[in-house]
Amino acid sequence: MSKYRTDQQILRLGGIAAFLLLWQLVAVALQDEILPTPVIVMQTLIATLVSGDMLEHMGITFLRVMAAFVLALGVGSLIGILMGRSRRLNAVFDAVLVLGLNIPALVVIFLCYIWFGLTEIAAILAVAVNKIPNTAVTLREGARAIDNELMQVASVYRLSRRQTLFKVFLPQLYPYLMAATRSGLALVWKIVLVVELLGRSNGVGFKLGIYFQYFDIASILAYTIAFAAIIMLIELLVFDKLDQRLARWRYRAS
Amino acid sequence: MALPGLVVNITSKAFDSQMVIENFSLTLGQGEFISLVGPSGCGKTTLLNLVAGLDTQFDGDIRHNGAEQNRLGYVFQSPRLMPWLTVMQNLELVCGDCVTEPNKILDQFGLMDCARAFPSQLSGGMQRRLSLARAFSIEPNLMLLDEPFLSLDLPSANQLRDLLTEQWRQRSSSVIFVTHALEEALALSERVLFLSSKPMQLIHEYRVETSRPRRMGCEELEREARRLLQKFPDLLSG
Repeated sequence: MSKYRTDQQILRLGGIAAFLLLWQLVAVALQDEILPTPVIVMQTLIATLVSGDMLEHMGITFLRVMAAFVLALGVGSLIGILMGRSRRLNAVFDAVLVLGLNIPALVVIFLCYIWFGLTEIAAILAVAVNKIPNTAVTLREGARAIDNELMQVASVYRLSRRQTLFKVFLPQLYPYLMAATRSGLALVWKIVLVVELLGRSNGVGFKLGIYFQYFDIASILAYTIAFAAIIMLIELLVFDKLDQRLARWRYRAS
Repeated sequence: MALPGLVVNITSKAFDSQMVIENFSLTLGQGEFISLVGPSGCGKTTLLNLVAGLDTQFDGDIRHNGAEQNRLGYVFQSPRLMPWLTVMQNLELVCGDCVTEPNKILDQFGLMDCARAFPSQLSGGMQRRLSLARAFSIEPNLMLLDEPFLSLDLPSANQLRDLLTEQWRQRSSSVIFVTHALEEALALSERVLFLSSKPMQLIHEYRVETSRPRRMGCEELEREARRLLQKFPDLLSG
């Protein structure tokens, strides 16, 4: 590992440690139940993890996040690419897209639950619909930036549709896909919690709602930290690695 | 003469209301190497794109004869390589059913040492070399080259010109080479067509008899170029 990367990691850990220290100091100074110390939160986290049903609820939430995320990314990318490539489609759907971007998440959630009932499908759909417009806008930019000269190469050398898609077209969209993916996961899991709070009887959002009623701040923070850690882990283990692999040619450039 | 490899008849080609090519005909023998010489912006690239089938909006017709399967190699003005593919992968991309193995082609074009490099790691000359290798790898019946050596330093350009001549003679490809440098055209081709601009028309046709190998910058070519320019003073002015 290079010295640069080691330094970066020390700084990263230092940042986290400083934050925890500040938290601990403020909590000790306040001596109030509304702000438990990080130590107490950690103890609660471990206790719920070992004895309680935390894993089960987190697992359910995780599945919802993934389902909504995949759905939103797939549909949003498709809409965005089509709109970016066709002026007509863009003209037809542009107003709808702007509307979609500006509808509050809460309204979408209410409507989905009212129209489709308090079901799993409604929940996942509500989350996906919230994310689709963002993805579409990002991918539309990407599709507009497609280099026509490279597409001509594909045409002259009679590449198959598959080759053209995977070797010429999509690689140009990778930066945009990565951007949509990273911002997507963060947004999706936040909305999933709201959806769970409003209309599901399990999952992290549901549990948070209960702890809120008891004013159990330590448990609320414990759940938050646990789930945020999972999302960070995905970022680190999946997205970073994927990004490095797909953008290898960029980093190796002189 | 054998059956012509390519017959081009363009009645008109316009962008918006601007006429670019008008009443232009061209016949290319199989295995023949011709150059199109004309001022910048006279529509040479447009013509190549029509021949390549990239642009189908024109009046007239373009017939490819010869081998049962028409294979077309196109070396664009810029190398147009896929930046996310290595040198080898760039070649393999077009080489689904190449007769010669990509390995061998890289070797022929002196690219073996950088097979695993990405295009951005190559010099401009090497990028063009790969672009040329890519076009030849599919064993084209017809090669189109659009001022491919323009932005290169003299030694690199000369090397690539030699490589082009060598590969053309080994294979039986017909070649259309576009340039605005008269001497380059005289060095490479068997026949030179002089074009006017807006709309593009054929103004003169010249058969090059000078024996090979011809070197850019040698006295014989320079004299020939001077003589042509004296005879047709507005050949390159458009």
